[in-house]
Amino acid sequence: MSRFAPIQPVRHHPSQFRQAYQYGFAKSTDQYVYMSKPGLSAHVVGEISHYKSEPTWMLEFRLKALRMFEEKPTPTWGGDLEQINYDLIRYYLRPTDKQVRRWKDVPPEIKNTFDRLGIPEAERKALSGVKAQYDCLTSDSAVFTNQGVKRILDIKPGDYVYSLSEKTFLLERQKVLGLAFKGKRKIYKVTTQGGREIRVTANHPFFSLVHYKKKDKKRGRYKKEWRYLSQLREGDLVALAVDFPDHGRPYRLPKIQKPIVKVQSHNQFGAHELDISRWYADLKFPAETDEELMWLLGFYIGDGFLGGKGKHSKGRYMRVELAIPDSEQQLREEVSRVVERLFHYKIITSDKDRVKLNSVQFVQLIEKLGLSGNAHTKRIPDWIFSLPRSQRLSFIGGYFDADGNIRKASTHKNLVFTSVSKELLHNLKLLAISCGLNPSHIWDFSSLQTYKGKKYRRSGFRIQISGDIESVDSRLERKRRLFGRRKYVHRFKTAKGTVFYKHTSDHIGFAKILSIEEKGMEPVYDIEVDGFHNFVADGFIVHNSEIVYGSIKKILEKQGVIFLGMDEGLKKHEDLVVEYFGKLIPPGDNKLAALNSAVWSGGSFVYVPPGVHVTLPLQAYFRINAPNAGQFERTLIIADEGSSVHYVEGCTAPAYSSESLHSAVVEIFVKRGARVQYTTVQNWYKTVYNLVTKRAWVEEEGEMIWTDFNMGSKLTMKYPSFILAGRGARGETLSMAMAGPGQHQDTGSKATHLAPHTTSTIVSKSISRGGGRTSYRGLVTVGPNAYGSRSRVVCDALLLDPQSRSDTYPTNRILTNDVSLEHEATVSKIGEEQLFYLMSRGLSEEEASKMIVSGFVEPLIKKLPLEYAVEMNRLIDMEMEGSVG
Amino acid sequence: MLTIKNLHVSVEGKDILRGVDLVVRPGEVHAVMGPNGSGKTTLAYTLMGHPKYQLKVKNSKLKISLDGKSLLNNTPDERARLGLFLAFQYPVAVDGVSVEHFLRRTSSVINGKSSMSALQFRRLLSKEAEKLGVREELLRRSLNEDFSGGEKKRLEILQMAILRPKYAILDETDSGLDIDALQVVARGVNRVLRDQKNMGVILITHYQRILRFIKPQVVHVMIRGRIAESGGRNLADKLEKQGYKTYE
Repeated sequence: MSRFAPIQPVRHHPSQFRQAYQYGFAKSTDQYVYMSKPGLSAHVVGEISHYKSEPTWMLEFRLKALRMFEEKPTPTWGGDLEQINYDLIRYYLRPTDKQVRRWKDVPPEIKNTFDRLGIPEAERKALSGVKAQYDCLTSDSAVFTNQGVKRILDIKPGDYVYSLSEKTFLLERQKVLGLAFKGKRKIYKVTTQGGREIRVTANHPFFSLVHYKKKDKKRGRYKKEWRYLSQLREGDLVALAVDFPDHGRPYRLPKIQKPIVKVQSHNQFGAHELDISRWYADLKFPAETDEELMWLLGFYIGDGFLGGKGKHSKGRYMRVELAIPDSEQQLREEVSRVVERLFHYKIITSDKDRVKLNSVQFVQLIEKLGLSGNAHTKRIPDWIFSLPRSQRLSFIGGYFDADGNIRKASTHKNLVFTSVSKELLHNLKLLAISCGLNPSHIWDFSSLQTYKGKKYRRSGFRIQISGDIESVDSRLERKRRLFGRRKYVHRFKTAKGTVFYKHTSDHIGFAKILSIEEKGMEPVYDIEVDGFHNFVADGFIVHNSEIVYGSIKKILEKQGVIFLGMDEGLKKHEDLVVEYFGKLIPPGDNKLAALNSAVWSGGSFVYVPPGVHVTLPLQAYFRINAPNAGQFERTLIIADEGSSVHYVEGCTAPAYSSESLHSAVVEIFVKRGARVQYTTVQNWYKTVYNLVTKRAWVEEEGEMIWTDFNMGSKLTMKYPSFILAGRGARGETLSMAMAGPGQHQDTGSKATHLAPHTTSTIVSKSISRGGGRTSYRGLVTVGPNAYGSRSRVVCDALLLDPQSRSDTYPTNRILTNDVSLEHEATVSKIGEEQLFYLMSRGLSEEEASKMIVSGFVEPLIKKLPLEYAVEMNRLIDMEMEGSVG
Repeated sequence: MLTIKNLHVSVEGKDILRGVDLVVRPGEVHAVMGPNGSGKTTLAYTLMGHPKYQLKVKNSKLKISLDGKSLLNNTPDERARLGLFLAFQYPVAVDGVSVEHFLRRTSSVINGKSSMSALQFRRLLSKEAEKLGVREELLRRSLNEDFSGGEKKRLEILQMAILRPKYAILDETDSGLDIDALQVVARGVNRVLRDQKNMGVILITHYQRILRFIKPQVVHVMIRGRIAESGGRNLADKLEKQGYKTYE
């Protein structure tokens, strides 16, 4: 009978749920195609190899390793390994082959896994194999379409939006393929010079201008690139739309009927109905909008209102009124002229403060066009955005003549608008952007004013518009004269201290980011755009995220980078695997490496060709999916000469009350002048034995960096090592370990210097709390040939309470004279004095402790990409929760 | 009003304060002077609620209250949130926590979750920092880590300026400062006092030097855990001439 039996769903006793890890570890409900019975034998190994249809050499390798595993003694140093019962472990599980297509179909426990690992949202989806990945903008984001500016929520497939061509760097119309709601995400608000603001998720790509400078060069170069927000910092340059092509069309006006009004008339013969429609003015209405009408409507938005509501009007408005005092004679004349030309209507009623258009038909026009409302509720309706530019400018001109002012700036004049309605000014801001003007941010103000001897507090909002303000169709001589002569129009072709004319175009410019602020969780949306896959939102050029991921895969393929699962790698690139597999960590290295070699399954295979730099990190995650299961992944990375790559792995396991074993082997070959960074973030459940062998071979002028974050697990024994085999090779290990109650983190690093002028740096930081135990175990070997080498070891331990423990076991073997060796070790306790100092500034004891701990690990976290760093801090905070009294 | 009545404090079984009475009204500056070991710093730490300092609770007349509210059962962070501030004689370093991050945290805790954005806060901070001659670069560094003595003291006053307490205790803020730094710090204190007319200050000092720049309304002389004499500004001048010997 086969050892592989069809799987029964794993049943959990309800009481186990209560033991579930309080921060979100949940029971796994995964289904497996096959699961091996517990226990280890040549038969099991044979079946694993058979099931994977491996070549014979691999089977032989596995069987040889199994013999070594049986012969090797269990290590007696480090943690206590005697309790591991190898016969209870299942050595092979084969999950379903089905690939999930949509993020919402990804099982919750997998989403949970990502959460436990602190993997940023965007990456999570890529990892889970979901193809569609768009999440980015908040619901109020304004997208620029040829139909005007729309909220992202109102965009429909088939609409056309403005999109940046990366060939001409001009904006063109592109079709929208779809809109997607992406759930609630963490939002960041980005503010740039020039007052543009947008709220997006961290994984949202911006078109940006990146400065590259080689060390030996005096001046650097700018390059245009897509960058995630998480890769951007304050001071970086991002693209703004400074102008748009004019695709606007005049708007067809709604039909305004002359009202038929009948009244009851009484005379000596009795009552009868009388048609008084002929008493109403005979107005003509133009068929579509033009500059004159838009100017008038702009004026209305600024200083117009509906009036004439009274006893006889039955609650209806009877006329349109414009607040033009009789001192503004020129304005009154212009309004009269425009009204007469448009409507064949002569204004006859006006008083000291206003001009009245005395017809219900005007009221109808205003209402049907969506311009009605009071100062608080008036908005600029969407159709205005779809007009030809000249008409939009006339509208702004009318608004300005009614309600605008001139403010003198240092080199030029700006238009200033004041309103009690922030929304109206926001509408105006977008309209101004669409006309190629530069609006500022909207600010609030409050001032004391005297009116008729009484003091009033006046508050509201203001916006300032600069740029080519002469294009604004202002008709009021008095104000126009103040425009003065302008020397220069800012088109975002320069930013403070730098110039980049040649990277800009008529449609785009770049501005420095002033701030990136976290703004809590909000629902987010994205649209997918055909062609160039980007669009203009809130005046920024942004990408839909999906295609960036797609294109990363394409770029990797084009560059010849191989990034596959180890099993697939063996099938497709057997020649490479034969050459390197098990060469750096042979099965006989240690008992657990032997075990891994016998039963390995999963892991990654990476090959980077000579000279290729992989700019975004490659990522993988591993998890233990069933009780008593072992996880034995095997990773092989080969970075050929002069290449570079950053590989990030995450490891976790759901809550199982029984013990599990994770025993991985990672082999890395860093060829001449190459650079590899390998980052591990692990947060195992607290019953897992985590025993990992990691080694890198570094050739001439190569560089290997291990960044290792160890949280969770019952016992971790892990000492990432590097062999510096070529002259000038460098190795660095940065490791952090956190041990809570019942945990032992035995971590450190091994540096072997074989060649001259090699450098190693080991920085280890550990935190123990609640009786947890951390150890640093390090071995620095400097061979007889490694003259002129340097090694520096720093280990700092932080103890949060007297019950916790930390030990240091450094060993140095030096076989040459000419070598510089430094070792620093500190153990600090969270001191009463530090706590008291922070608490005296109002922080609670828990918060003060968290602050001290996060400050302690900060130098290491700094080495992570921004979003990982944020998430890592969150994990540490979670571990610390409740750790104080 | 900050009221201290019949305060007896011991540290590790040793009596340090033996009945201190002190009342500070809003807007008043009280100087507390005294020789080494007279209990000045103990007074400061006790007011802030350091757990090491044992109060003699048995005496029923004991009272520490801030604007009528007793502080006896409050932890240091609660006292800070009620409006008490202590500028430390030896500010403590916290590695990896930047000054700016720390100040933004504490200011949002103490001044409430104000609508101030990160950008606005940064502007406020650099404005205040500039006035106190604290370099921008310092704000990005770890809190008090490798700061010079003068920089630490300036940072304490900067914190006071940002947190705007009701009552501030300045514990030997003048010690370790050269004359120029002393003037800058004193100007900083005076400016906060001008902006916040109702702030009460307990100014603990050895020397009369700082009193030339910050004018107290009342001067107290502390000898062996008791206030031996209180008086006007001229008491400080008298001390300067005669020393503390007259009280022995």
